[in-house]
Amino acid sequence: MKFLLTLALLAAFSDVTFVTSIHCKKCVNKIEENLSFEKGVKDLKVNLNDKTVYIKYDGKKTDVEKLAKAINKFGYTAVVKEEADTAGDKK
Amino acid sequence: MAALCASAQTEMPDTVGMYRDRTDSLAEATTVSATGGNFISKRSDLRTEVISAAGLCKMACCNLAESFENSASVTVGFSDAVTGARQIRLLGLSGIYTQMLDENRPVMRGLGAPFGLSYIPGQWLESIQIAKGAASVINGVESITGQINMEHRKPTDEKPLFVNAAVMSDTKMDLNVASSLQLNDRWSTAVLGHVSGNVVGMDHNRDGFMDDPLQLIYSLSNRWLYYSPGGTQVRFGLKGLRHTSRGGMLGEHGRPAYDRNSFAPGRPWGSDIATTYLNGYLKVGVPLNDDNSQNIALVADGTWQKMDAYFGAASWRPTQGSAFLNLLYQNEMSEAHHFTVGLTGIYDALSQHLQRAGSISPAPVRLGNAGAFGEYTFHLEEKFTAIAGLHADWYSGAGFRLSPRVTLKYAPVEQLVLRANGGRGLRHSQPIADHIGVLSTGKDFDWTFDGSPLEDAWTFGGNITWSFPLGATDGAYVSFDYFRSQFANQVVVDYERFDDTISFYTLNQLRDGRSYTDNFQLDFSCEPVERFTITLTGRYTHAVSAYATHGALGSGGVISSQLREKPMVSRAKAVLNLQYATHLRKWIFDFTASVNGSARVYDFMKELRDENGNLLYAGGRTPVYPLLYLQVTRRFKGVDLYVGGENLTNFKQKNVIIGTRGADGRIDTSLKNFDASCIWGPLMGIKVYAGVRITLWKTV
Repeated sequence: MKFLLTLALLAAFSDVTFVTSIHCKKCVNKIEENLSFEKGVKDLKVNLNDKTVYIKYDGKKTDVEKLAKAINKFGYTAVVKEEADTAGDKK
Repeated sequence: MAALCASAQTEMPDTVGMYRDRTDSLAEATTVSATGGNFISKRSDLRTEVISAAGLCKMACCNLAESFENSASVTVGFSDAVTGARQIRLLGLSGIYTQMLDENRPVMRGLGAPFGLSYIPGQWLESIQIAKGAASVINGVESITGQINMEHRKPTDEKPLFVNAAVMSDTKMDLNVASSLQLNDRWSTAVLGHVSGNVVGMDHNRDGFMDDPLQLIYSLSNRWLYYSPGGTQVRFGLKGLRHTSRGGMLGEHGRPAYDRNSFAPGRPWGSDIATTYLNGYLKVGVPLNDDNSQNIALVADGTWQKMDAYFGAASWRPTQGSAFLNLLYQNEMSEAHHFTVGLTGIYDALSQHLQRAGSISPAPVRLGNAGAFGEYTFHLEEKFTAIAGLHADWYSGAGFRLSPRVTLKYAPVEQLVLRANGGRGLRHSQPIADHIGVLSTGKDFDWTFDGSPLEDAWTFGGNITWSFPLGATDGAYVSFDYFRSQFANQVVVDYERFDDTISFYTLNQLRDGRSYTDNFQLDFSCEPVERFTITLTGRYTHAVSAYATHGALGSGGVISSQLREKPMVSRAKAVLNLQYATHLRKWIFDFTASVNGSARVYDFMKELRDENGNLLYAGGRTPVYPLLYLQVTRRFKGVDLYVGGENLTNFKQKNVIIGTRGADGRIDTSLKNFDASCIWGPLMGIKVYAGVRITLWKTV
């Protein structure tokens, strides 16, 4: 039952990938240290090679605009690369 | 834009343009890994272990010495049972043979050695690099077993405020504050403050002596960076420190049983030490062309330190002024060929007043060396690197010396790296500062030389590192290394030649005077599942030296000798570190276990017995003992809370203070056989601690 509940919760999450202006490992660290604790963030992957920030988030607690602003706050640009509703994909 | 400029500066190593050829001390200097802790750098030309920012948070790491607790390469111990002075061993040799660098400036030299490891708060540091073997000649050739380079928090860090506070069960408290401010695109500064101390003396083993001295350390450092768009960099900084330490016999209410003004034979014994330390430095790097392939750099450093130290009725009051100057020219002629040439000099003025029964105060000495150096680097793409360096110096009291060094690195495929290096190391000894534990004894001193002999050694070795995919990453590795350090001349501090006497002589005074250390190490690291890392390390050390035959007197200036295992040097060590972090690293669990091998004890310790009459050191060796550490960290936005425990097996060295017991059952400190310097294991039992780290990030 708990497993099914977890699956249901995961299915309810959305994800987004931003192309950002990060350029060094310290930028990666700064994003990881701060975005991990943003409200609604459930998963985070920062890739320095293609300068992307992947975020899985709870759409009830945050949205793409708020997440982009959270990145902008630390001095980096953030443009949505792809936005897909996980639940929608599964359908 | 300002944030980006600051970030661009952040990316640059502190010494870019000054040491860009060498990757051994800088490759990972700017790598701040959010995961893991200690790892072996793949890029570096020398075999280099990196303790990252995350690694510095794995334990309480109140100071630099404690930062090495989960490293098998470096062994940390106490110099004696009373002063709190810490010492490290690299490749089985005392830390005095390891060159300590603060962003590539030599530090902790001479008087700075005994307590220097306690003067660098772990939370001031961004990373530490431990390079084994004959390192670059650019920073001088005082490194014999290797170099340990510390990278401090940078002025360009986008953290206007960092606060760390911790308290331990032994009443030790630790407070660190750091602030990095970017004033504009060109100027940035970092202010680092530290206060630590403990307020209650404890005597868990009931030998009448405090387990840990009462200490108070406060220090302040201010570092500046000027970075011009043209590429010129200017870095300068100041540091001041005051340290007081009161160890020895414990009185009432956790306070010392003595007063430093009333020390006398027969009265309560204590070590009462006060140190003042001031340091200033300047580094300038100027590019000579647009792509910075040619540049010149100047590194200047000045230190003044003064110590007032009482050891019972004896006192030692040394003062040292030191200067270091390095002027470099670098040229990257092509991708394949680089060279660096330069002029360098080190100067130490040491005066010391030693008041001790049967000892003559050493005369003031002026030590120094000055000369030139050159280093050529050949790169064949990423596969092969060869570095040849030469230092040619005039040494005060010893004359002209040449110190060649060679480094080779071959990576036939990306997953495999082979390294070899070798070369000569030279350093002026400072016999008392190098072996401060001798003052925590009642023994006579027997000197067979004056001044500060030049110690001379060759170190050769190599390393093979194989990386492979395993579990969650392709970054698992197995690494093996072997190094040998062989001395041509060394100061020997011999506790065994005469009874109740410490004899100081050099290998050159011995018939067949030899000293060498073989060191083998195997490392394994992997991440079997995401966010769970395993690091396993094993080390074996075989350290031998010629010692004067017991009771031997010099004949025609030559003393008969025998080759023996070095005493109090642990033969083996194994360390296992496990770290697990939950999703988004909101919880982090660190566990470290180590097993420390046995060491030969001094001959006069072989018959020591515990209170039940059992031999303490059966077979003349210390017992093998385990140590366990555990830390749990809970992370919130900008705030980390952590609790942990050290030495969870509660293992302690027994009967630490050696001597004859008086009628009151206490060691009689007025006798010559009193000795508090025979330390091989932990002095404190279980310690638990809790702390908080608060980080305020810069926003736009």
